[in-house]
Amino acid sequence: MKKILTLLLIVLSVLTAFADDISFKASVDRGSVAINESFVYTVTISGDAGDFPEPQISDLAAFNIFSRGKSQSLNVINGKVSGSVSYKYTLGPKSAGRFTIAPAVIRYNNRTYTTQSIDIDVLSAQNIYGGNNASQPQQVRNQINPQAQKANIFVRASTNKKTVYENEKLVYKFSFYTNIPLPSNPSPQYIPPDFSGFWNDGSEPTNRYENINGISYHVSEINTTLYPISIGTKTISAAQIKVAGLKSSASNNIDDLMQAFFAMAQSQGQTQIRVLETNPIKITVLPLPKAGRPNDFYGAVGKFKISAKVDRTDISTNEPITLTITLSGEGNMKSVTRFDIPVSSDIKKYDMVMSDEDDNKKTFTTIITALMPGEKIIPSIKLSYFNPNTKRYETANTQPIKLNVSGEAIFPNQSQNGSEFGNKTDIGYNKDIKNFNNWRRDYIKDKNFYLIFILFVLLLIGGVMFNIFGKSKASIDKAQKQIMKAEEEFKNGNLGGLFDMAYKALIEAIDSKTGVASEGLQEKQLIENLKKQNVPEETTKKLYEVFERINFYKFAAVRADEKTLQEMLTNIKEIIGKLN
Amino acid sequence: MSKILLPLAALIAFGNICFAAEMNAAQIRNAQNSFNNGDYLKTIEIYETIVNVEKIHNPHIYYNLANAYFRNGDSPRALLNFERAYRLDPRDKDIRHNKKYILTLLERQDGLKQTQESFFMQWVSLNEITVFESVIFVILLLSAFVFIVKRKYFFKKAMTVSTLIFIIFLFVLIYKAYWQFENNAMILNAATIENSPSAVSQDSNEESPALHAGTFVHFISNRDNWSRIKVKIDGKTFQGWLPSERLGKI
Repeated sequence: MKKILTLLLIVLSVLTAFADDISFKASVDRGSVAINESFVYTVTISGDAGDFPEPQISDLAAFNIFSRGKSQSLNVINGKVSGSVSYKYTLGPKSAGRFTIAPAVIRYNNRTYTTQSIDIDVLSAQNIYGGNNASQPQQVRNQINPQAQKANIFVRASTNKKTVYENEKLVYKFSFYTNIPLPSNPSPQYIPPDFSGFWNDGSEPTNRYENINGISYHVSEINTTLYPISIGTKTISAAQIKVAGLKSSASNNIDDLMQAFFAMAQSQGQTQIRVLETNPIKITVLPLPKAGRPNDFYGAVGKFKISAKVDRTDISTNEPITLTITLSGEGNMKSVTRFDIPVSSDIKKYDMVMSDEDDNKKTFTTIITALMPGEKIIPSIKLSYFNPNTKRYETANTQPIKLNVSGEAIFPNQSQNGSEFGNKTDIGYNKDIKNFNNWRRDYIKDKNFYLIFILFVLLLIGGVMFNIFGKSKASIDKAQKQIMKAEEEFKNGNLGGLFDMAYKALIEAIDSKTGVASEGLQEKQLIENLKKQNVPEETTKKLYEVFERINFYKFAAVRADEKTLQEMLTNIKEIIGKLN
Repeated sequence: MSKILLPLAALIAFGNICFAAEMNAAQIRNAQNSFNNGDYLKTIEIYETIVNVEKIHNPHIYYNLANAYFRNGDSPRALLNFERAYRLDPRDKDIRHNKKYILTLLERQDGLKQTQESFFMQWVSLNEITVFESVIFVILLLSAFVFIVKRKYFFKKAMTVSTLIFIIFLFVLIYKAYWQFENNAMILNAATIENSPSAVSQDSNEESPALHAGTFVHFISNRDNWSRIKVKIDGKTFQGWLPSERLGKI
């Protein structure tokens, strides 16, 4: 039994270790909301991973979606990555009542996760303007008492600018003025204009009170952030609002409308819809100037500031720290999706995650670790943007951050062999280049390089040609001249000179025939060389006899007679003639 | 007339040379200032212009460019330029140190296993071997010439010795040239070899391993934005296509 229990415990612990530790939750920032207010619906996924799929959000048809955003965070602890992703939706109710937001669904690692459903109470206009709403100032409620003053209701549309640059932030404001309470069922329905030519970055509803000519109005405003995506003149069409209880009329006279409204309100519940419409607005969109555009400009238009900080600066090698870059300012924040952090390669950086805090602030976080000890610098991080106010390109910079890294270098074999880089914990510094000579590319691939050999090859060919054609003739000539000298020595009675000249003449002739230097070789070797050159045996035999006779008379104490010497010279001439 | 034109032409040529030298010096100063200010992208831009537009082939330029890439966090491009510098000046201590440093980082971080030349080959450049071999060849030719003409035995000996040295170093030259030819490009971003040059098909070669950044490969040809390559890993040769931006020619 004990063994079974132990086994079960092991199996359970293994299963627990492999189970995905994921949390998937949904929440709203408030449980009840007025018909003209908005609330934030948040879906959060967190767990031991950095890459979660986007959740499937259930049908939100009962609400206007004014904006949506995503924020992420990432942690690395002991090399283990954990993260969380939040999806935020700013929602505005379309009508009063109790609504249920169905669960959101996510599928991760072949498992399906769901959030809980959420109930939202939407309060009617009567609740807002009536005594139920404790937050409504009494003075204001009195001011819009319909029986105390003349009823009035109208709409306006405006933009903060009429001329903008492409990608410059433009705010379209729709304002609905009323000094009378409106029926909640059906509630007024806003029909936004056609924003073609603009990127709609979401809307934000607000409520306020405004005094016009002594009359206090409740103003419901919807501010829509737009970014022009193409240049030229654009038209934002009329926005509309449908208000129940107003009798349709050709007249736009407010007094007529109010009379119609009260007439309707007193009838037996017959509801009529009145459509109020704004004027269209023309916007001129200018192109961004090409002059002075930095290479690292990626479309940010506005006025921005960036700052960077790390959670600590004294760290050990391989110890993760969080680098946070904060982008703030006014402009198309959405166009900035990442920053290039120019850290050196001995600092490891992880993926950057982005969080939208609000329209004017955005944070980017990343985890970095140093691989080498020493003083490391996170250099200045830059953002190039176009400032529509100054009409120039500008650059926002962060300050460089110095890190003091202690510990051992994260290199293989470091512990066994010590540092293979000695005391150096960084790359060598730049070379001081005084002048940059253009070094030769690979000679082996350069055809011109081979031209230098042509001279030497030609020289060699010349030598061979001389050897074949020129040297042979020159040698024979030389041999014949030496024979003539030998004859002169013979006439003069100088027998020593005769034998020397005769011998040299033969050697010269043999050189010419064999092509190798014969001087110093034994007679037998000379004969062998001649045989290799296919010289007839008769000639070689005669040559051998001549050599023997020369040696005999040269070194023996016997004086040769004239006839013998004459015969020897004749034989030598004959041999030279045959070797030619 | 020519008395005036010739000095004028010489003066213009000299002026151009001085102007070019001053321009080059200004570029180097700008690059160094950008580097000191931490503007590594600007440094890279200047040095890349010197290398690619002005076609300057200098180990110190490649070295400084590699340093800028390293500081900017682009290890593979840093290694590519250290390799270019090393192949020109293999005995430079700084080049050897930095190349080894970054190679070790890539081995540690990405599991890179880069093939290396034999130890002795790591100390001489291909051009040095080529020049040495050429000098030996010239000595061989001259010895042969003198021997043929003069028939002196000394030159026959010289011819024999120079022929022997020439043959030995011919093998060295062929080895070095072949190694550099076979490893004429480097992977800049981890990639897998595709069977065809198409991003649509994604027809990955099932057997081909993932190529780490820093791996030597042999570049064969280009088609559109794709490069045909060959790589030998663990004794097996793989051939296929990669997007060209993932490849750097050495």
